Amino acid sequence: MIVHNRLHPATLDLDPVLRDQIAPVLPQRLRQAVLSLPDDIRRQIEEVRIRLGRPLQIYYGGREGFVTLAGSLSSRAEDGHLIDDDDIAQTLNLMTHSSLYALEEELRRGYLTIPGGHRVGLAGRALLDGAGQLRGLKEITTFNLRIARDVRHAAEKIRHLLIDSTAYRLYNTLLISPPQCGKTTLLRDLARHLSCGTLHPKLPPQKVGIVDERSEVAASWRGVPQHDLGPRTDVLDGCPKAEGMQMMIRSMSPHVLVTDEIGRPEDGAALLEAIHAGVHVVTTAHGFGMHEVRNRPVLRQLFEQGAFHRYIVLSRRRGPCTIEGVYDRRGERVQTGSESHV
Amino acid sequence: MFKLVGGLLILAASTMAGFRMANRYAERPKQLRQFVSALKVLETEIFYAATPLPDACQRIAARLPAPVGEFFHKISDKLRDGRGLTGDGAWQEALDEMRSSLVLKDGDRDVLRQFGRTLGVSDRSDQIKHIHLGVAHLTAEEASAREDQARNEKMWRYLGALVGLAVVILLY
Repeated sequence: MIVHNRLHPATLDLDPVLRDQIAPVLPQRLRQAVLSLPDDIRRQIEEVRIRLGRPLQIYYGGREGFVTLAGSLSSRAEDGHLIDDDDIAQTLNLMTHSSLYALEEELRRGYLTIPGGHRVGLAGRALLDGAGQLRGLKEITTFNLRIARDVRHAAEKIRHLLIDSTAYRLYNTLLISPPQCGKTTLLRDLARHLSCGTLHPKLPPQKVGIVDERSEVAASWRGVPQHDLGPRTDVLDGCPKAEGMQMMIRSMSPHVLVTDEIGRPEDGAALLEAIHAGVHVVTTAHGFGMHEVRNRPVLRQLFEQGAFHRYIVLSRRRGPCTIEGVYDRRGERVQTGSESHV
Repeated sequence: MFKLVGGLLILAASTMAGFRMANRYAERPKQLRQFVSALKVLETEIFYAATPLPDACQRIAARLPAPVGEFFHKISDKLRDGRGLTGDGAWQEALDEMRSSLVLKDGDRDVLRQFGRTLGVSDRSDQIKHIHLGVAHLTAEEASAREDQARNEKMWRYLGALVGLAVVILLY
């Protein structure tokens, strides 16, 4: 895994992601504890868990542990620093800039994005309006800080499979995987390669339009993408996919439309419309394999219409972004010697 | 000769003291008015733009003259210093630190303290309600400050000089 850092390699030791992006949103005590963790652990932190009345916990490199105030890691919950009201209040203030009112939409969705594109999941007490609709959260007592590390070259193994080798055009592609298997990471890397023109030597750089309904692909913070997505990429942040795709086509004339997690009927219709308009699409769906493509209503319709030329199934079997298989338009495995790469 | 210089010094000193007092009466309604405009800017920032507090306070600070501008500048800095202060915490700290440069009465301070307690902790519509309440209270304080000003400003301006003159005459 290659960790992308914006700073000079010499400062890599200090872990700028943690120091400049994660530390500022942690209260002093917790910041101290996390930054004092042993170097090899600190480097691999994936999640920091802050729960009222329970010990501070981290997940790193597929393992977990409780953190003491002195910055050591223990497997026993009772050793960890117990989170109190002050910790929670300070965390909330630091993450929201003491401005809850500015995050109404985020509180309704249950997560917020902080600078650097990291995602903070929130839980507490739900606040309902008169009609029983979720209005937001109050008394937030749980934070799940998920550290987004930009994995470059995730798309390396499959890029030769995504290009029509006679016409040198991009295939319309659907990435299929269960959560946490690197679907979004791969999508992001593909978008970057397309935009930079580095996906395939014969494929010129493409104008890429990203419709980022859940602010996950570009991880925009106040409208500014926090991930590097290449020089020819436009991002429409927080917009419903179906409308967003049409808007993108009208306003940004993209060669390639990139969007995350299609599932609703209108998403399918909008995708077909985009394909008929001559735009290439790269998108993702939750699922475990090709049988879901054939059986889920929206995906089945797209499959039957031959919307996609490539289906890529991912898993976490050998770490995130393990490629389980690449299938063509008819749902048959593509035999290009790719299995040796898998 | 010495007597003359001494007399002039006394006169100058008491005139200045009188002017200072008069100025306090003139400054208070001005500062209250500036707080009112600050809250109105805050309302726009919160309601239409949902600007986070540190940025909103920064913008207010840029628009208003010291010391009210400085007050909001302090709040913005405090919210950004990484201690994780609430809007309330920063507001009260700034109010304490600016105690000497803000010529406010205790009643004015109470209104401001009360307003600070709600800063940033609720949703937009609630924030707007509190801002309206704050503006109403401050406007009332401002009206009473203007009355005080009309009654006392001129008086202090003359009183200083006259008292000085009286002392000089008595000493002669």
